[in-house]
Amino acid sequence: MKRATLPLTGAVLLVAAAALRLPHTRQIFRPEANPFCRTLSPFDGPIFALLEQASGKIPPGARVAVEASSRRPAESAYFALVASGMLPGRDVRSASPPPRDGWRPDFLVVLGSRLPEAPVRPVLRSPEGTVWRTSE
Amino acid sequence: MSAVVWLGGWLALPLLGAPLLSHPAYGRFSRVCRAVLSGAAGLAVLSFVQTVSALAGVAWRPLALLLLSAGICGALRAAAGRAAAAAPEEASLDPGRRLALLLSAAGVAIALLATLAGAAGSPDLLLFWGPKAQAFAAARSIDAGFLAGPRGATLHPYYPPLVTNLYALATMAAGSLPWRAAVLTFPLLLAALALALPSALRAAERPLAPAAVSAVVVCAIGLLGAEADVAGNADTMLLLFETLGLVLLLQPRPVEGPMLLLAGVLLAGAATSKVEGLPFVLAAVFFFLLNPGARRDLPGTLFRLLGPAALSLGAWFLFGLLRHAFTRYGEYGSLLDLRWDRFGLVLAQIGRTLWRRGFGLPYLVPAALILASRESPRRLPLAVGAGLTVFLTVTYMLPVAYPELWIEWSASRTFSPLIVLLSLSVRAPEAGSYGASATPPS
Repeated sequence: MKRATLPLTGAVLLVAAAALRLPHTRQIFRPEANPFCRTLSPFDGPIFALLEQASGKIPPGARVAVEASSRRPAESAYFALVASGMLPGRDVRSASPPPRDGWRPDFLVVLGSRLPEAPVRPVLRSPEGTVWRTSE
Repeated sequence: MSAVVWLGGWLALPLLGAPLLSHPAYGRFSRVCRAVLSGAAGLAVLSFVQTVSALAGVAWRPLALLLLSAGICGALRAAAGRAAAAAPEEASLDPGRRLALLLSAAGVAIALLATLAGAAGSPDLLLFWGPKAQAFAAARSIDAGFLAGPRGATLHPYYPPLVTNLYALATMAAGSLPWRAAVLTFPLLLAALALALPSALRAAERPLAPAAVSAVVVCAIGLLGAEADVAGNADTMLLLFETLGLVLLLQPRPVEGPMLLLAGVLLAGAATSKVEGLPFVLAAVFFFLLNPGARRDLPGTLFRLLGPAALSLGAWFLFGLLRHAFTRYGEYGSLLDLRWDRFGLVLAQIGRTLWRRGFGLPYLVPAALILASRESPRRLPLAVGAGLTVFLTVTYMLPVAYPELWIEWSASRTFSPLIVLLSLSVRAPEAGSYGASATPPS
């Protein structure tokens, strides 16, 4: 026991530090929590929540344009990268800037609260964003 | 349901390595430790078989891959060489050991809670580990077209294949990749380490309170993992392989052939988990061989320790070369173009980054163990730690555009093997020396 005193003290310190960094119990088990909602990157939580729901609404083989409300190319490009991973089997591209090769999407996924300008039909509305059908 | 299948498949991994771990030399480890070692060794071999199948253009068939891997582990047992049968040392369940096991369990539980709270998920899972696994599962092989395609630049196509191979196989079994289950690999692998390390460390030369030192390692990795967002990426897998591989090299000298072979298989797992695994393996083998006793059968020792990693990485690079997916490690520039003028900036940013992740505690606590110990520390882990530190510091001087961002994002993870290396450096006094106790360590 004597030999173990110092490492045990260190382990207690580490456990205490880890426990103190945990959010409140109610926030851990709330239904809307997702694996990325409290990570270092502020975008990943909302992006994951939106795309997880969108994956059930967008069929395989569909052409999907994704866009961040800010319309900043960097944010939309990051969103498109994650979307192409979370929507496997779909052709995913960033809508900002729009593709120049005549490619037209079947669906538009918008991260954030901005509404699309073109007349499109809503498929999903969530606090993190929306999914729109752009072709029949 | 797919989450249960995806994670449940991992429980079969110990069956793959069981033929190798049935060697009597490994009898010195507890049953649960052997199960974890079996799983880790089986996984390293399974990934190798998957890579060779992809290289040969043979589509993955899960049952065939599993049977072949178990068969290779059986062949490795036959090739491991002879060693005296050993029984595990009895570890009394004194209050210190009980407290240590409780602390390890708490460390794992907190890692699980942090993951469930969404505070540990790795963006890299979303950006490339997950997408690659899905593409490989759909192709039933390593999809070179996907790696070399338009998304290739963001996929790090040369990153070694073990984690994506395993994720892909689990995805094939489950039908899709359950993202919420993938992040649970962090607490799951941490639990595996917590189960195996006390017994593995007890079998080492002059162990000091193995359960308590293991608790430090587990709790430090748990804290750092949540702070640095590692859930779902390859970092915890890398640490599991590195820790178990290295602790086998700390056995009383001369280390027997079967132990060297198992260490070599686990180090191959490290080398094929992440890019940083390779310098760790090279440093571990190099410093191990500096001990004159380890060089008595140099070709045999080299073959056992480096053979598995050479074969595994060789198959991976041959695949990349023949399929025009990648030819080498590196996307951050050449070592010939190091920015030595950034040396101060790099050091300062590394220090800041390590401090920001849990106030540096995951590193400071293991370092304090060494400073407070009256015994000289083990040289092997310290030398590997020093070598790795120099290598990583130099690497961060590569000519990238935003070194601060790069270090901020990655340094706390790339330096995380230091937690293990510093902790494993402490050892008990020699029997009969001043302060040595006749009672078994807790």
